[in-house]
Amino acid sequence: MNYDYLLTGPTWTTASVLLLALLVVPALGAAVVAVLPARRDRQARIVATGFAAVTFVLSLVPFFAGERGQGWVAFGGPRDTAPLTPWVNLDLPWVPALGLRFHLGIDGISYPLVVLTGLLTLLCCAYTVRKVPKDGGPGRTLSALLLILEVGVLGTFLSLDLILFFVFFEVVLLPMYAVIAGWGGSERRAAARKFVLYTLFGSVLLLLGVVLVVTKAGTGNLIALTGAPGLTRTTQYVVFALLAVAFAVKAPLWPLHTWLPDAHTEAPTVGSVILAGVLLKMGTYGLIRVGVGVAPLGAEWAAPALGILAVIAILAGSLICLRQRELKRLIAYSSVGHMGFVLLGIATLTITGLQAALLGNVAHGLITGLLFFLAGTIKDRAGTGSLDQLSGLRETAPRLAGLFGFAAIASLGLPGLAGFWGEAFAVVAAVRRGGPFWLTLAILGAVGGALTAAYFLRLLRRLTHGPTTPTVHALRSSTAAVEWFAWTPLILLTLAVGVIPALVLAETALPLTTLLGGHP
Amino acid sequence: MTIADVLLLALGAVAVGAGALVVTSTHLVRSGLYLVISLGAIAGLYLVLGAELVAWVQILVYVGAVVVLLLFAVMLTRAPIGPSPDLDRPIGPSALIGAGVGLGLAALFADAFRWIEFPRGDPGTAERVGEQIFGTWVLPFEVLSILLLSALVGAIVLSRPDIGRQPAPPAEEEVPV
Amino acid sequence: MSQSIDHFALLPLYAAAGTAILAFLADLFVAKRAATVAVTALGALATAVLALVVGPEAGTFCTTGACSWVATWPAAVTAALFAALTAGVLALSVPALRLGIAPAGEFCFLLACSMTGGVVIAYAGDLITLIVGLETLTLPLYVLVGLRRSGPAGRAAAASVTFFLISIVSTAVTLLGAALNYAATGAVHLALLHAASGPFAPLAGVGVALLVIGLAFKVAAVPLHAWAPATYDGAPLPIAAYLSTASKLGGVLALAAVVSRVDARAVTAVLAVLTMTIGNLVALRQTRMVRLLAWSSIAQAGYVLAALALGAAGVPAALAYAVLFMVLEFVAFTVVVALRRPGADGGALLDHRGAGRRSPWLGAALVLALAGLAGLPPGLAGLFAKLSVVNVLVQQNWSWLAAVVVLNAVIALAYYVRVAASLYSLPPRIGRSVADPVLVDAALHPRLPVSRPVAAALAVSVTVAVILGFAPQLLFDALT
Repeated sequence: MNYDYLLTGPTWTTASVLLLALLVVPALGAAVVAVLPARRDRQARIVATGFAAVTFVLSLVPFFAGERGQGWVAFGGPRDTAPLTPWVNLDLPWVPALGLRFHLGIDGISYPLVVLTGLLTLLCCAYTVRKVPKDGGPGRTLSALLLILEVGVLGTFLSLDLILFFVFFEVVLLPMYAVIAGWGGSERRAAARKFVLYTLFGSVLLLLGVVLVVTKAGTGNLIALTGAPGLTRTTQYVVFALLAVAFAVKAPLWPLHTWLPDAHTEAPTVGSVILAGVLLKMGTYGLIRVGVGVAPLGAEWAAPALGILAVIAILAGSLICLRQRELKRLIAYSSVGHMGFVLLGIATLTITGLQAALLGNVAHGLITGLLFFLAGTIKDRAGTGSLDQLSGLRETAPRLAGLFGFAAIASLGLPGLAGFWGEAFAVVAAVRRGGPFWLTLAILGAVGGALTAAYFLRLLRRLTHGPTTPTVHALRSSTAAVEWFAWTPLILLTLAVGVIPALVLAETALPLTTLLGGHP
Repeated sequence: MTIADVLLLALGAVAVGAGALVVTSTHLVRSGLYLVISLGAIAGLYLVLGAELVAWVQILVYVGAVVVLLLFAVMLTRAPIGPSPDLDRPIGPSALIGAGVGLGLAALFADAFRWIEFPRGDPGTAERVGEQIFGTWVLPFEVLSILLLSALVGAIVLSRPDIGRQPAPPAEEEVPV
Repeated sequence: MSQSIDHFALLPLYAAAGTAILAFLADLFVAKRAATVAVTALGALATAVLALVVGPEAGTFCTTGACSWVATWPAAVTAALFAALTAGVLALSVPALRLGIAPAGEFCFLLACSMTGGVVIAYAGDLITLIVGLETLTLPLYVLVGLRRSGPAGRAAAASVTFFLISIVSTAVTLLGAALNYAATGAVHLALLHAASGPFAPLAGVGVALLVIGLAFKVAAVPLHAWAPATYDGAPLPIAAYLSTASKLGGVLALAAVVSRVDARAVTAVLAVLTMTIGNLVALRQTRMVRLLAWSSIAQAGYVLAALALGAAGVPAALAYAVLFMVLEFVAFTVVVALRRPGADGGALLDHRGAGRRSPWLGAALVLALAGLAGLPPGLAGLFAKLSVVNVLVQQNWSWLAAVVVLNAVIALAYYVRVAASLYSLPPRIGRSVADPVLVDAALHPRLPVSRPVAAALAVSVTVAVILGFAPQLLFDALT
């Protein structure tokens, strides 16, 4: 099969228009919502939810519309590996002077993340219709910012041009800052500033790495660059080092994680959900797609270091969680631990490890999103997130306590729920990688998994069981319809992905084989 | 050493010495008069080098117009005639920098030109200067006219606060309470 | 012998100078402020249009081997930009002129003379014309900075004198550098500039270094940067806007003309690093809006110098950065003008707290400008500017300088984000107070009506910024 058409020229099929629509619809929605007058604030939020719903439906379509599953392929020419094969492809020139092309595409690795983004944005916009944090700005601005964030994240997941990837990576910085600083908690200014400065530091390193690759390789096209040995060994080491630090800030990886707890704690509920559910995935996706894809020799060289840092992240995250007294902060540190498992999977550089990473990504998005929604509800009702004042939730709000228990157990990795696959198979991949070093890492990772279970069970024992404190006693127990609307898809998907991981992993085998430079 | 070299050295010493006295003197009027001597010495240098037009323009413009303007300004603003305490700045740092720069430039020139004898170029007579200005350098000459016009207008409008002043609004009547 | 003159190529210069004279005559014969301002604005727009219409031509005022007036596409585009910026600043000055802050005829005349200087710099083909053009650009600004008929005159006069003194020192240094270079190489025309050999090499090197340092004053680069914050703060706001945009553009063009032909890489690289770093670090501590914008523009000049440190290879990227920066800076100053009373200065940062809530469109425009200056979306123009500079630095194997540039971008974000956040913040509620602090703040900072010329200038500049953000290729094509 001739792959040349993937390297040049725009292909205006309906499917490629779909990709463009995925970016245009939320942007249009944000513009429309922003100009609606203040009197129509609630209608504006509903309009925003409508746009988010349309985007979500559009995000489901590429699975059915594109050309996937090439099966047996013949490839010849100078390449000895199959190039990246997107299901849908759109390639337009944008700024030739900078080597920037507007090149979008979707394949098995990015599709689950795109759907996850569409879903979480829809749920957050719906949640905003009912609940806007008081003392913040108008609700329609929050909805518009969520839609702009969606454009940035979707653009990152869809872009197949390195510089375009960087541009969309930058798009999310200021809107997320605005969400945290505008509608957040009491320490939001400092938390937002720390977030934006840290993340920009990572972004500029990404810029240096990307420009270095484009200069040395002569192209920014990810299809041409993936797995192809066009860069010298030294260049690949330098590039991977830059990209790894950049994505480690975003993912986040210990020790560059210190922006995360403050940002998550101080952000409003929808901000925390989007941050944990979607923004962190940009880091790990970038590491897989751009880091490992473009600089495989660099990845091999840095893999042991990444593995060590990942395991430290798992252990450190768990140990810190054992000491946390604040609900959202505990969930934030648990994110550090989960991302540690994902990064351990990536560090093994095996198909199993990368699949575990992808599944862990999606699972973390679903489960931690759910956890933050529930924590937001609890914090709203009780007025505080401090665990000292929250105890015995099942007495006054049994359904809320039950759901929280479900989410916590899913997060600690119970088999049958989504979180299990990511954690378990990261450890399995490390074992299969072989050698005493990786075996040690696997053992430490497993210990970390046990510690994860420990702190979540401790949290449950403290929060849902035990004697009721006065704060909990005064809690309203009814849950609003919009809250059920926000939680239900996440609960169902957690169960579904837990039982049928093929939902996420079905189309990933071929792209991951290509990524690691092998033959399908 | 020819007589021209001796004259160059002498006039140069006068120019530099007078210039140093301009910046170190504490009397404002004396500074102005030392400036006359310094600029006059430079005009003499031009004459020795054969650039007669430049020399006379130097005397006309700098000595005649600029320094006289300076003295008029001193008179009309009632600047202090005697020693002014605030002109007594510590000269150490500036002397150091000035001496350093001068030494550096002298070393540069000595290193570049050494003791090579260059044939002296044609003297800069009025005829040659006119040829150059109106032959090769007409454009900057004409643009300078815009510069000078804007300087003229700017000086007038800065120093005349009554130009363009809005008429004062009529005073409001006091309403007896 | 005299030179042949191609009057067609000189049309932009005639238009600019003619605008100045017409402004004067309109003030003399019609004596209505509106007519004078309108004539000057139309003249500036005519200059811009003529520059683009004339486009690239063969040079005129030529001697053997080189011309004094070189008409290329980048020259036409930058001349048009000078004229457009002049028209924009005129629009910003209308409210202040209505108040009588300066006599309208002389103000317009001086501004038009400055524009003429800018046009000369854009087309200059030799060092003498370049320096004369720089002086013509700067001299009217000494007067305009100090021209205040009402309000506190002390600060304006001090600002004007500071600007004047440092400017003439830098002109002296520039002329000395040009003279040393001429003594060593015998060339004054830009096309004939070359590196000297043999015993004259150190002399030429020092000459070039002095030339670059003297010209660096115009872009407010370290070490000749200290005038900028004091002058911008003391000058009337529209003049500060002009200084920050058009005057800086003149400096960038002059520097680009010099470094693209002689080797000044070491000096320019050192200047770039110092300027970026000092500009950003000091801007972090500023409490007045215009001073913060001044220090930030010092740092931005550092990024342009970083691209110029590559010599001829970096000139297109440096020019693109300069143009994109001009547009964003103009938007920022226009919003500050719109937020303040006519004739007032920029005010402290605290005065602008909550301005975004009171005037949503102005707040959005200022956020666009600040984001662009920081190099982040939604200011895509600024993002592409930084990208082009980093791109050219990495391509020419100067990655260490690219790393310095991007790290400075991180430092800069700290103060841009602080200003943008304070636009939307509410006054703090501390304990119980007699009056609601939010309402008191709203009463003390009423929403001021924005006059039509200012609104028009804002609309046009924001449109240009957004268009350049989505289609920067237009600019990159125009500058090569």
